[in-house]
Formats: sequence, C-alpha cells, structure tokens
Amino acid sequence: MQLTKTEQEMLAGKMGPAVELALKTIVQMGEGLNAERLIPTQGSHLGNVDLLRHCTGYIGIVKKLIDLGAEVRVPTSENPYPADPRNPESPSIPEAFQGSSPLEGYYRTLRVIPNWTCTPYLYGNIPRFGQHLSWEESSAVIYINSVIGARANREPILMDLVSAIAGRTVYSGLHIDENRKGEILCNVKVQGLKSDDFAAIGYYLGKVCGTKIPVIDGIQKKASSSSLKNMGAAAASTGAVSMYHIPGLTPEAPTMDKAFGNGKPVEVVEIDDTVLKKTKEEMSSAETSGGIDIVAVGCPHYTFEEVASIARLLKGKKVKDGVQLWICTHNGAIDLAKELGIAQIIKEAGGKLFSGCIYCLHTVEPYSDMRLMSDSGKICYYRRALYGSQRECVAAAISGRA
Amino acid sequence: MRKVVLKGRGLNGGVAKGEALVTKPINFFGAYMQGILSGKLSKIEDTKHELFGKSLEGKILVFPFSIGSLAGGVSLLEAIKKGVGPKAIVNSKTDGVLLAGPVFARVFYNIEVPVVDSLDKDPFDTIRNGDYLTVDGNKGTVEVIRRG
Repeated sequence: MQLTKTEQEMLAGKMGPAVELALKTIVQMGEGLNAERLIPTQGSHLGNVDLLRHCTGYIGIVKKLIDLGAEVRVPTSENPYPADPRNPESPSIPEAFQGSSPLEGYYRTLRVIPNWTCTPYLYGNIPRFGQHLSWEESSAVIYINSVIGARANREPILMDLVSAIAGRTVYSGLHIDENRKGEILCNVKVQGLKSDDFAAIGYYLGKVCGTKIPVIDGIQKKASSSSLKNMGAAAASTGAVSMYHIPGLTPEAPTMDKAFGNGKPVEVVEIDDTVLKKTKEEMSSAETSGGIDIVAVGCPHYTFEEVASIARLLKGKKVKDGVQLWICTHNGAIDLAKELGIAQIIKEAGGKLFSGCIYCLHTVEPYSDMRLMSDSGKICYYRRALYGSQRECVAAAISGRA
Repeated sequence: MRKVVLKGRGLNGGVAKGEALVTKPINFFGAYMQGILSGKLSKIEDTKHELFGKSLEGKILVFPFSIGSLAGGVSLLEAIKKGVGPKAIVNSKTDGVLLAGPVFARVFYNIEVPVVDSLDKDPFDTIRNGDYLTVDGNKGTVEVIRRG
C-alpha cells in the first residue's frame, strides 16, 4: 500500500505513540482489504455504546490508546446511551446496562463530543459536502452520503476509533467517485404520498437494492429532512444500502443523468400503492390482536420538527394507564422543546421525552417482552413490533390498542 | 491420510493448527451479543444460526463471509480475547467487519488468529467438519488432512 510522507512519519512515531499505533492498525486493515492507499478523514462517529461498555477487548484498546496520550484529531461524536439517567422523564435503565463502565470517562479523556445521538449530523457533529469521514451507525452513514454529500463507508466498530485518533481511514467504497453512481432506478408512483410513507419506502428499497445505490424519483415534493432520515434508516436496516440519489434534490444528482454518472440503471423497480401497502403489513411482525405496552418513536432520533408534530397530536390527550410512550430525540431538540413548552405538553400527556436508544432498551429485560409499536422502519426490522404512522402511534398510545 | 494444500491470500499473519468447523455465514454481533452483555461469553447464542449453543473455541472456522452488524468485528475480538473464539479463519471473502477482530487482536493483544481467503479451490468442496487444518496467514495457505 502506498503511504504519503506524512503517514510514514506518523508510523515512525513523529506524532506520538498513540497515532503511531492507531495508524499501524489502519495500515494492516488496508493491506488486508487490498486498498491502494489511505484517505485523510475530517470526522468520526462512534457507535453501539450499550454493547461496547461491556466489551473488555474494546475498553482495553481505548485504555491503551489513552495511556499513550491519545486524543481525537478530528470532530468525533457518539451514539445514544440506552436511556438517559439524568433525565427524570427517561424510562428506568434495564439491569443489563446498570453498573459503571470506564468507557464514558475514557471518551471524555479522548475529547469525544458527548452528544449521545444517532443523528449527529443534526446535533453536535455536522459534516459538510465532500468531507471524508469514518462514521459508524448505518442510518447516519446513509444520510450524510446521500443528503449532505459527505463520503463515508459503513465503518466497522474499532476502525471509527483508530481513525478518529489518526485522522485516516482506508480509501475504498464510497470514498471513491466511481463507486457513488446510481445503479437502480426506483420510480415511486404512490397516490397522495405522505411524509409518513418514507419509512416504508426505505424498508422496501433495502430489500430490493442490497448493497446497490438507488436513484429514487417521485418523492421530491414530500422529502423533508425528517422523512429522508427515516427512509435511509430503514433501507440501511433491511439492506446494506449506504447511499441513494434523488434527482434535483440530493447534491450529487442535479439531474437524472448525473445521478447515474451518465450511465444507465442496471435495474428498474416501481413502488406503487400496492407495494407500499404490502410493505407496511410486512413491517408489522407482532401479533395484531390485543393491546400494546410501549409506543416508541424516534429511531433514529426524532428531529425537532417531529417532536413538535407529535406534541401537536398529544396536546390535551392522555396516554392510557399502563402504556408507555417513548419519544427519543437528541438533547438539542429536548432543550428547544423545553424552551417552547412542547416538552410540558408531552409530559402532561404522559409521554417520555428523552435522548435514549429504543433498540438498546427494547433488546433487554424488562422491556424485551413488552408489546411494541413504532413509526420506525429500523425498529420494525430489528424488533418484533407493529408499524404505524406517527398519527397512528399516538392514537394507539391513547387507546392502548393498535 | 490424504493431504491437500490450498493456496490463497493471507490477510492476517500467524500459523494455527486445529480441527475445521465448517458453517454458514455468521453475524458475530448476533452470535455474541447476549454473552457479552451477561459477561458469560462462550457459545454462539444466535437462535437463527446452525451453531446455536456451540462454541468456536479451539476450532478453525471455515465459512463464506460475515454478515450483519458493524459491531461484528468488536464482538469477534471479545471472543478471541476471552479465549472462546476460533484459532484461525478461512473464508471466501473477507470484509472490514470480520477482519477488524483478528487485526485488532494482533496489534493490541498479541494474539494471532490467521485469516486466509480467496483460495484456489473452493474450501466448501475441499474441507469437511473435523478435517485437520494448518492455516498459514503469512503465506496464505491452508493444509488439509482428511479426517478418517
């Protein structure tokens, strides 16, 4: 593998032993993966805090790097914690996540931005067009590639960490122009398309695209930042989609031709009302009969607009006794919601507004056996759940029935 | 005793000898998540996998590729560090998620788990459960001695 003069100096220890060790690891990964070279990165995002705080192997690596004097060289943020112990609204932390782990302190020493969100591109670590990044969290990777035009692969955990310290990653995949062209044309022909339908569109797209890049036409008018976030998260769950184009909307697709890099689609798929309806049915894998225990929204974290919109639906209503309503978002949106009285509306309705992770919480006892409903395509893929739009989720939380 | 030597690409160095365990693609996060959370990691706890309830300890893992979560490599690293992971890995196609486990184990813990892929003969035609393998991650070779 070709290394630049600076990279050779880093390997020789000129920037300290932590950078040397981090880069040595990246070079071994790059050689194993047959990469021609490395690429300088401008940011990292670290994932899966819930799991990592129990991984002695991971924690030992972080400690070793800190002992060698490591700090992150590029803006580096972190994924949500399962619940938010500082927030009285938060559900209680399951036993599996209780007890202290040195990891949170280590991240502070490394100077990781404590934004605790799966939407760092909205709060705390906002990339710009053309930047090369080493990010974890598949829903964030697809958003920054597609909507922002930054460049990132679905980075394996561990690589995000050493990349943050060395400011380099392996030059491969979506870092390379050639690999960012659209491959599959997806025509959306849905009557009365709603922003709410985007999670289901993404859910279907992931299944038909696998690892390929779709070019999606017909959704331009309803494509808010929130709906694009929800569509991408679902596509990155049911498939390994890391990028999409929307002609006339996303930055690398000013036209249909440009979206395909002036080439032709290898495949054309159509999403009509029938496909959408069938997909929504498939997203509901839980029993439909009987009541529900938890309605959980905000996976990925709700945008502020989504928080405001659910508060409008909840105003003056009451969540049914025995049912929990979780609304997960980043701390920036929580601050705004408090400022505007929106948080109070949610609280009075019996909802919990907190910066946690629905998936992490619902994976373990006591929540894992509870009957769950969500508006998230990602949650509906990973957990046994019922799917509903935001409006349907609120109605279910109030009635206790789906 | 029949001996065959397969040639491929070594992705992570070291030499390991042991019994082959041939299986389907593995999501290492799914396999090890419960064990990591409980602090009692040993067996594969993914109920959807044919190796559910079995351990990779001391075996040479022969499988096509890893699937699923980006936490797969860090989960595999945990198994390797705890001594319940495979001694070596032979697969068809290696991605970064899988490779991260053995590479970080080498750099940070001096544990060698050789990885070899792109073999000149299909390993699933050539290697059977229980065959005795010598995997050389430096040379990129797999020596197969047929069981029985």
